[in-house]
Amino acid sequence: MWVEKYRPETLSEVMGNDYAKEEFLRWIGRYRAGNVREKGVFLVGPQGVGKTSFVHAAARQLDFHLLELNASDVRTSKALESFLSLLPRQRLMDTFIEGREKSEMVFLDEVEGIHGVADRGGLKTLLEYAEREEMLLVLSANFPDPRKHRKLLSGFKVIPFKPLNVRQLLALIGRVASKEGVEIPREKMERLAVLSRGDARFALNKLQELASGYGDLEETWVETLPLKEAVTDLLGRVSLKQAREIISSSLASPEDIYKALAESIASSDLSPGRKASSLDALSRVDVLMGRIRRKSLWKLYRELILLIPGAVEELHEGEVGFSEGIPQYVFYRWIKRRRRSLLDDLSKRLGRRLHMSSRKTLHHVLPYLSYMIGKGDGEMGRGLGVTRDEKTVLLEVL
Amino acid sequence: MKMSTVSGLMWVEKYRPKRLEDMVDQREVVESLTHLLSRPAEMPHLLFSGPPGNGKTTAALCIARQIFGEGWREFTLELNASDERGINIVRSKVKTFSRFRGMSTELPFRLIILDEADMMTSEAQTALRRIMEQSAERTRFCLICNYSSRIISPIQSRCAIFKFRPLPREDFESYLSRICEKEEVAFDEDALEEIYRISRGDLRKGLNILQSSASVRGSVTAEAVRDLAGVGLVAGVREVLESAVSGNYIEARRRLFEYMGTLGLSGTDVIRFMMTALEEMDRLDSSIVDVLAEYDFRLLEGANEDIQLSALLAKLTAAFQGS
Repeated sequence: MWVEKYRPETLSEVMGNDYAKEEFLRWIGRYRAGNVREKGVFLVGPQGVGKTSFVHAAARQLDFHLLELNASDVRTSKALESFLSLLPRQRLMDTFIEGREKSEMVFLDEVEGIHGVADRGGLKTLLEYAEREEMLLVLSANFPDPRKHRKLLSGFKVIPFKPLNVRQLLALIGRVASKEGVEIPREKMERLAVLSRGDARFALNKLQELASGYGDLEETWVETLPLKEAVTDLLGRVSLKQAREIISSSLASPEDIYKALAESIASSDLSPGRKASSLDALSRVDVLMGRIRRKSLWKLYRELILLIPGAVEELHEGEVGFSEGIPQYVFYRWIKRRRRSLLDDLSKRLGRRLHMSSRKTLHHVLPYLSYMIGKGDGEMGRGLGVTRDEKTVLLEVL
Repeated sequence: MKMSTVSGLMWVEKYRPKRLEDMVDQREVVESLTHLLSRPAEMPHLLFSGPPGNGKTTAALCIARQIFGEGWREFTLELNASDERGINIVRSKVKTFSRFRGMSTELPFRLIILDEADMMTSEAQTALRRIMEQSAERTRFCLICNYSSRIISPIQSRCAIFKFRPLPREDFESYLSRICEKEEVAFDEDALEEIYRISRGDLRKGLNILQSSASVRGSVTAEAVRDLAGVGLVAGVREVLESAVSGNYIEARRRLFEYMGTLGLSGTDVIRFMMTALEEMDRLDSSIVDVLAEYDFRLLEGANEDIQLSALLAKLTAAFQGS
C-alpha cells in the first residue's frame, strides 16, 4: 500500500496544517512543564489530512513511546482492561530494550467509531487509566459528536486539522508517481488532486489504482463518498427525526453534507423563489458553522445538525437530485487559476511602481490598461513590460 | 520592468506632485504638514484619512522626499496592509528595516508608510500598536486609510490625524486641463466635467480615464469619456446581474463563479460591485440594499463563500421576478 509506504517519517515531512502542528508542539511543551489544564489532545478533522501520520511522527520526534488503540480495542471496558493489564509487562520490556524509560503517549484513533453505552464504559476506563498512570492521551475524530463527546470536547485541548489544498496534494501525487515510475499525464494528476478534496489517503490509493490500470477518475468522485447516500436520503421526504439520524450516522461530515445539498439545490430546476428559501436556510447553517469553527464551539454541532433539514422541508420527493459534478465555485477557481495568477503577478509588479496594493491595481488600473491596449495603444503595453500572455488574458477578461 | 518607464508612461505616476506645495487642494493639511517638516526630528506618527484619490499617498511620499532628500527610498519602507499576509510579516519587515540607524543622515528615524491600514482587523491593529511602540525610537509611521473610524483608538491617540477632504471640482478640472496642455492633447470643458462626475472626485481614477481617452482617441471629448464610464470590474458583475434579472439563475451563478475564479475577487468585493451595478441599472431599492447588507454580514460570519453567494443570487433573482 502506497499510503503506508509513503507515510511521513518526521514532522517536517507531514504536509500542511502548520498551525495545528505548532499548536500541538506548544501544548506538549506546556504539558512537559506540568502546565496544562486539559487531560490530553483531541485532533479533529476530515479523513486523510494526516492526523495519524502526524501523531506517529510527533511521538518519534518527541521521544514518546506510542501506544496505538483503535475504536474496536476500546469497545467494552472488559476488553480494554485485559488489554491494559498487559501494559506494565510491555513497558518493562521496552525499557529493557531501549535501555531507558520513555514517557508514553496513548493514541486513540477514530473516536466516533465508538458507539453505544457499552463502549463508553471502555472510553471511561481508558481515560481513568491514562490519568492514573500519567500517560499522555491523544484522540482523533473526523468530526466530533457533541452529544457523545461533550466531555472530551471540553476536557481536552481541541486542535482542528484542515483538508489539504490542491497544490499540496499535487506535490504529493507528483512525488509518489515519479518515485514509483508511474507515467501519468499532468492533467490527470491535476484532476486527481481536485477530486481528492483534501484527502491524501484517497489520492494515493486512487493513484495506485490508476497505476495498476484499474479504475477511472470520473466515477470515483461519487462512488467513494457516503455523501451521495446521505444527501439523496435527505432529498427524499423524511421527518426531522429521520433527517437528524441520517446526518449524524453518515460517515460524511455535516459540513460536507450541507455543502453538497447547497450545490444540488442551486443547480436544480427549482424556481428562483424556492431556491432562495432553501439556500437561505443553508446560508444560516453556514453562518453557524463559521462561528463553530472560529470559536471552537463544537458543542453547537448539535444545533447545526438540527438546522440542516430546514433546507429540504419544502421540497417534494424527486424534485432535486444529488449533484454529481465538481462544485462550480471549486471548478472555476481551479480551471481559471493560470489566468488568475498572471493577473495577480501583473498587479503586484505594477502596484509596486504605482505605490498601490496589488488589489487596488487590479481594480483601478488594469481595466484601463486593458482598454488602452485593446484599442490599439501598443506602446503602453510594451513600455510597462506586459508580457504576451498577460496581454492575452487582460484583453480576454477585462 | 524599469521604473522610469512606469513613471513616464502612467500619468498617475508621471504627474504625481513631488513637493507638498504642488499638491491639488488640501490647503490646510499641506500647511500644517509643512509646519511639522520645519522641525522633522520632532515629527509625530501621522494618520491620513479620506476618500480615495485625493492625495494621501502622494503627501506621504512628498514628506519622505522632503525629509530625506534624493535618497529617500533608502529610508522609507512602503507597506500595504492588503498585500502583507498577516501582521507577523509586517512585524518582521518593520524589525529588519528599523534595525539600522541611517548613517548618511543626521535624522534619528526612518519612515514607514502603511497604506490601507483600515483593511486590518482590530486584532492586527492591536499588534501594530505594539510594533509602533517597540520601534518608536527609530521609526515614524504614516498610516493611510479611507476611514479613520476604522482605526482603533489607541493608535489614533498616538498619531497626528490629518483629514484629506474630497477635491473641489474646480481644482480637479483645472489640474486635468493643465496635464492636457503639457501633453498637448485637445480637450472639451464638458469632457472634464464628465470625468469629474464619473470618477466622483477620485483624481487617480480621473487621470486614468483622461489618459485612456487621450491615448485611444487622441483627444478628450465627452463622448470618449462616456465610453469609458463602463470600464472597470463592475462590468462583469453587471453581466451576472443581467442574467439574474432575466430570471436565469443557473447562468448568473456560473458567470459569477467564473468571474471570481478568474480575477480572484472576494465575496465582499462582489457585493460592493453589485451595489454599484444595481444602482447603474436603476434596480437598487431599500429592500435590495437590505438583502445585500444581510449577505455581506453573513459572508463575514459564515464558513463558505460559495454557499452565501449562491443564496444571495437566488434571493436577488427571485426579487427581480417579483418586481
